[in-house]
Amino acid sequence: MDDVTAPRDPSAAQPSLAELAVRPMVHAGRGFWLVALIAALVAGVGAVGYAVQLGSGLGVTGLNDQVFWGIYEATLVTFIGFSYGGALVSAILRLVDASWRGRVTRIAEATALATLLVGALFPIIHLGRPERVLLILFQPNFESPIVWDLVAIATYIVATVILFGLPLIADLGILSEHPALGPRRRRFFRWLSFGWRGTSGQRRALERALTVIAILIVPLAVIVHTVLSYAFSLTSRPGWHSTIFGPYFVIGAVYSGVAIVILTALAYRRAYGLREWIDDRVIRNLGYVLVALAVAYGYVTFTEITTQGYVSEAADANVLYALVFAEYSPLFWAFLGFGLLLPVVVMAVPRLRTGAWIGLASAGVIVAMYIKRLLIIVPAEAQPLIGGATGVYSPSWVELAIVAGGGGGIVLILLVTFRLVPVLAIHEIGEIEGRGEEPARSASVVAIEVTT
Amino acid sequence: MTTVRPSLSFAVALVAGSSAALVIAAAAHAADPAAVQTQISQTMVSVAFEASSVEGVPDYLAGRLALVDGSAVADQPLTFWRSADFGGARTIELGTGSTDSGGIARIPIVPREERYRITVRFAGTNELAPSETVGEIAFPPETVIHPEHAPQGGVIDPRLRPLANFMPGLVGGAVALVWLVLFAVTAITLIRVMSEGRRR
Repeated sequence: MDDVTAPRDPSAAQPSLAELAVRPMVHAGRGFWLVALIAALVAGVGAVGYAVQLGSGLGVTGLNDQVFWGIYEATLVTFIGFSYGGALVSAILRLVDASWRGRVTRIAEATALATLLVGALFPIIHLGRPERVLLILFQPNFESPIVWDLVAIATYIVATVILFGLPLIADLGILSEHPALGPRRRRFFRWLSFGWRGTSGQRRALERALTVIAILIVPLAVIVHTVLSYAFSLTSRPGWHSTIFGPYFVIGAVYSGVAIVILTALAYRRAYGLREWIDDRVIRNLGYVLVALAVAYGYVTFTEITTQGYVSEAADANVLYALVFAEYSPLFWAFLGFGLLLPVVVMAVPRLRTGAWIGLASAGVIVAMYIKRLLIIVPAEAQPLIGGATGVYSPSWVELAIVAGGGGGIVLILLVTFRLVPVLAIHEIGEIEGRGEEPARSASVVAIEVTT
Repeated sequence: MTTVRPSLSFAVALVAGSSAALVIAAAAHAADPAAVQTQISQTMVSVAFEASSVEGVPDYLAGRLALVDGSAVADQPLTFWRSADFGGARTIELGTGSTDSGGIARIPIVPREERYRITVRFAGTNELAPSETVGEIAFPPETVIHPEHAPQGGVIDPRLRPLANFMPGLVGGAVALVWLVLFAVTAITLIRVMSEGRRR
């Protein structure tokens, strides 16, 4: 059995990995309750907003005949994008056997799940009449992208739950003997761990399963986000009907997803003193991934603009003009500055490659990518197709409350998740770093005795 | 250019709405002398459906705002509502339109049912009294869209029909395979972990 549960020698300067990993589970300081209270309040305001919308209909939103989507659709794409990035970080790092992956996989997987669960609510919120979602199940039109959106998201939820849940079996088995946890919780963990004792057979079975799931989740996540982009690209609207939308959405999703993983990791590192495990090297590595994706996203943005602008069909040119030079230009240039330039600058200057700067760049990417999703949606919809004035959209307080509530919900789910399960993948770190591949971490690795 | 054909129901509703509003207006005047003192003009609203005769041009709900003498009131907002049974009886706001020089405000509508009970409301101003009308609108069957029953999602070139018939099955099969692999891998792993755990 992985002997990482044993408390370290009290004279030792640093706590063991297991002690650090269970810290958020057993210790909830004032900071935790304050953040939880704020998140719950924001989520509550969102619930009130939704109740108002449910009672009065979509007329309470800023949506109108021309701009028929809006921040709901932008939020759907953003939140599912977050989840995609989280799942891919975990899956790809696992497949390439990155030695530092164990320190962020749990955070990445939990973020993926939380954002996916909340993001998946937004198509239903956007329906106005939520019971109509049942029509997709009972009277599906298999040639509609909406049906396949539902299928793709449902499949992705199942895969993400498995990717999050399977590695937990080992950790729960390890923690079922941890003295810091109460007897009831240990009993519960023992039951949930399916008799995990850390034998070589169990480890082999888990390793194989995670490899298969990781292989599967990469194309699955690509497909999910491509299908999500179909809602746009299968619509004959200027700026949308483009084959680049699939990769555009996929790269955008991983990009913002990596940014949210960095922010979540930094938040937990700071709150629970996990700097020893989620160190600057881990954050820097994620920063390199972020900057590579920034360049890739810049490339697809350039390609999209160039192909539209060069051909310059009237409607496309109108949208492009509004975006680059007219009413949407402040947002567009803000997106370029914060979304594409800032991460590149931060990672290009050695002095700036710190947790704080990379965190700042990640926050910039998240805001910028949300703006970008709005810029994909609103200018194209506002463009009149059968004459008339250009549409205008301004989200109402109901929409803002619901979207903020979604954000609060994600924070709340993460807080609750890491009160229930360890924030670090104890077994995985033990497996990888216990092999002695990480001499730099020797002080902590000593605490992880992996018995085979 | 939009071409609309005022239906017979428009005229009927107009007459009915006008009559009702006249009676209400007269009663209101009799009961409330203050209305005369502040010189608030009574208004009346009527509603009708205007089916489009042009492919791709939407059908409209049209509300007409007029004074009691029948003269049109321009540049005033009319709000359209429909009755619905959704978690109990309620009204759902359909939209707001501004009246033109003929006193008519239009909002595009895609009927999802054969009949709607429509309320058109004028909120009033300092000079114009508020008014509203409720009318049962019957939509011609060809204008009613049942999205849940839409045949094959849209217009597809007949030459591509075999592809359209083939694709959902192919993609559905792939999805089923993915679900099968996901659940099989999970189940096999859990069984192996459990059986290893029991072994001494």
